Amino acid sequence: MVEQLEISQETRQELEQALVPVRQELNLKLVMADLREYRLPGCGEIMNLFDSLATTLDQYSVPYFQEAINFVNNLLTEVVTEHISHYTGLSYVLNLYEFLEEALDDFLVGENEFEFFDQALVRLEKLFAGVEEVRKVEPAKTEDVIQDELPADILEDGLASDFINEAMEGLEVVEENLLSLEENGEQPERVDQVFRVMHTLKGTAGFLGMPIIGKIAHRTEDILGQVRERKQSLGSEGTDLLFTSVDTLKNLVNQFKEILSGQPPTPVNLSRFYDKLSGFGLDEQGEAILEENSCVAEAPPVENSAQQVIPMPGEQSAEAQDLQKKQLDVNDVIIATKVQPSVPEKRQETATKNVKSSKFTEMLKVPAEKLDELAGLVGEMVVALSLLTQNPAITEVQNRTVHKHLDHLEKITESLRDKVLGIRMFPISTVFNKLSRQVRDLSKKSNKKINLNISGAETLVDKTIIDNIYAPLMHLVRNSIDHGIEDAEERVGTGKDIEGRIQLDAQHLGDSILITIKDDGKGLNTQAILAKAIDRGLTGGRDNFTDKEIFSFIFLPGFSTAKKVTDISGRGVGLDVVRRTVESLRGKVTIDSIAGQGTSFILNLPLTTSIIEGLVVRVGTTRFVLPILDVYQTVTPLAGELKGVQGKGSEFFLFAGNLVPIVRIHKIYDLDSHVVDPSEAVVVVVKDGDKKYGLMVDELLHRQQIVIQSMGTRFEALEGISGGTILGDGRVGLILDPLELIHNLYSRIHKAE
Amino acid sequence: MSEKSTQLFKESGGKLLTFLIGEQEYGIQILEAREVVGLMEIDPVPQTPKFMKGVINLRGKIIPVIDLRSKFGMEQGQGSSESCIVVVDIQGKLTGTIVDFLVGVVTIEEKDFEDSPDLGANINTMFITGMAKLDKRVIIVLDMENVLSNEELVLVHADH
Repeated sequence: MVEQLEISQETRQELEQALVPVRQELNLKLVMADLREYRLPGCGEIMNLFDSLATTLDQYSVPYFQEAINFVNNLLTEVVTEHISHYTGLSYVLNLYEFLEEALDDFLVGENEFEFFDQALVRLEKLFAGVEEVRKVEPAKTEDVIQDELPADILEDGLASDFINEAMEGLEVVEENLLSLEENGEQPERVDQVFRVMHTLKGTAGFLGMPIIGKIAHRTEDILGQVRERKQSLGSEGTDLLFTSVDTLKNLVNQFKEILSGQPPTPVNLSRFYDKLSGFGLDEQGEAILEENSCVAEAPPVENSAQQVIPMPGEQSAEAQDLQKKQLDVNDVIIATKVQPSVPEKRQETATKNVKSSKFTEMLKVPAEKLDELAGLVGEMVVALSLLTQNPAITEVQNRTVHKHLDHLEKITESLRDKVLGIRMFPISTVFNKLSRQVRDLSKKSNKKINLNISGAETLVDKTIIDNIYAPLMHLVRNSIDHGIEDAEERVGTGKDIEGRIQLDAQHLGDSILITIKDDGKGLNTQAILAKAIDRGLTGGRDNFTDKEIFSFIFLPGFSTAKKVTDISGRGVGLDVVRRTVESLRGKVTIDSIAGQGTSFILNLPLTTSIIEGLVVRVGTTRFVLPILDVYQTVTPLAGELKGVQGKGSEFFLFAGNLVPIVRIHKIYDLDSHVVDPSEAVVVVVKDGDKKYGLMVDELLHRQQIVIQSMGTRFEALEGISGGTILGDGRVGLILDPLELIHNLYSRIHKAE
Repeated sequence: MSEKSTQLFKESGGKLLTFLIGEQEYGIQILEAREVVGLMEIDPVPQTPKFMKGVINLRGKIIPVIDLRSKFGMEQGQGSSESCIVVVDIQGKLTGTIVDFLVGVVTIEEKDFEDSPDLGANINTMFITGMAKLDKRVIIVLDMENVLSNEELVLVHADH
């Protein structure tokens, strides 16, 4: 892999050597320039160092990092010219430099991809663009810090809320490990764990633009890194420092939470941490800082009121004996971003905005399994209750109070069920957002301008559906872009807008969810589809197909009329996959298409995948459950309506003027049944697209809500049976999937012929 | 010693749950036994081999039940009031097995255990971990993992 690169490994090693002095110097200066202490020459020095870093990289023709270095120097210029506060500016510089160092190290060992670094740079640039007019740093009255509010885009992404939850979780882990370290002494794996959490925290905080949190996590990480390298134990002092770090971080995160929810933020005191840090003599960097401090102590600190150097709290601590601390880090800062004239005003503003309180939601991680169990139990409860209320012994009771209480119980049970099922529901927007990103890419790839319109993104659907629906939707969207939407010339030629339109819509419809993908392309070519179907021998000699019947052909395996295989679709993964996925979610997919005007794919999915309304039927001694959504009608045909050869494959009955094939369940499953005459049985009519089939069963028992249970992998191969359920009497009923049953049956008959 | 036998003495401490099928006493490692329930109504499942008796509702969970007699190719016995279902747990998968009579838990010594005995051609040796002697009793120790695993419970559809 290395050979292919323009920059050989040798060059990289040389470069590494060449970079050592400038990097060392830069490290030192940045540590010195630590945020609080604004010194003009310092900024100049740093700029010079970044320049020489750029020059060195340039000498070795390294194509990376120049943009980042430019950005840094721009930032520093802004600081020097007092367009932004030195704190804000330098915190960005420090953040970026951390990422740059990491990326540089990676580059030196042969890496050529810096995705994370690039992202971080973009993020920082964006953040910085949000810092416009900046108020000068105000002298703080206390030792405490209040962090900045984040830019709106981050808040809206929900990133901040995620960050808070993650950070809190991480810090709990740290605490746990620290306790164990304190109790049991040296345990490298626990140190590692703490290190990892701090590292992540540093990264995320930097990424999101939270310099204070990032910095403390970084310092803590440094200490842990040294502990790890030297393989020495933390000691009580170290543990203590780490606990302080955790507490401080927690307070900072909590403060963030307060800011987000519009509460007045509690100031956080950082000096405890920094005091302890300076007292902790382990730190190499710390040693360097101490040295620097002595230098600083010799030179009097720059006193320039115009530059608003932040004084230390209280007179006694502002003096030389405390310089060390002062030099070490941020103690008391209020940073300004955007147009926020003064802090109190801003607070008032946030307090009145109640909307803000919705930005943070407390989260609780629960294993999905527990939710499933809960959903299962509630389902059982619903079933048990429905059996109770339908029991003749109860229905015959005349006492009105009993019925009133039962009604009440039913209502509670229902809302309990809705609540429990609601836990598993999420807005479909996550899927839609992913799709819209893909559409942008596809639109570029295919050279077609696409205008994607999304509605109903807030529609709640079951987690199982969210997890599985992306692939089929993606497929359909690809299909629309590739086969549906015409080229620009063609569109203009037919008087259409040059921009192709795709409408993505989700909505609730009774107990199901409708997802529609509609394009304004050329529509399906019924002729081509029919020709292909005849070619494939799928028409069975018929020629009078309705449009709907023709459309349904494209869902058959390996059916594609695309003339060319493109980058986007047509790679042989057909729409049959879409159909199968949708059906595995107990849904259906149908097509609407008008030639020249466009095509709609309509996905009809159940609200939840675990509880369904079922029709319980009996065949011999076996009881089956048919999902009510699949049942079109139930009839007992008259003897005169029966056609074809009874008991053979070719038997039909007359239903609403059509001949509908009869499928004998007892024959398919080899069950003993005394009912052999369809006119004495019950025929359950199911629809497959426009085609109807009659499933012959002995008897209809009742209708009830059932909880679907998987029968496990060992029964996966069972044909036409999608699961099992516990019936009201505690016995097991098998859930029929009539369409799978029919498809398998007919594909077998086809093969046999 | 086979892996199974080692497991028997190391993890199960030589403890077996034993039962009768016909006159013969069989044992399974105590670790593999989950619970014993009385014989209950079993709902048959179509398209399954003969030894698959069907499924039962084990406190809300649907589990398959097999008949060891027909699995081992023995003649069909008369279910009695003594018959019960031993629920076995193999890697989290529960399976009920019908036995004629539950004997109880015994502890066997390693010295009384024979790894791969010659039992004639009656039972597939794959299903057997070994044979244990206890006083005058001879217990065939079953390898339930092999009895139940690689077991496709569904028959491939025969064309009608």
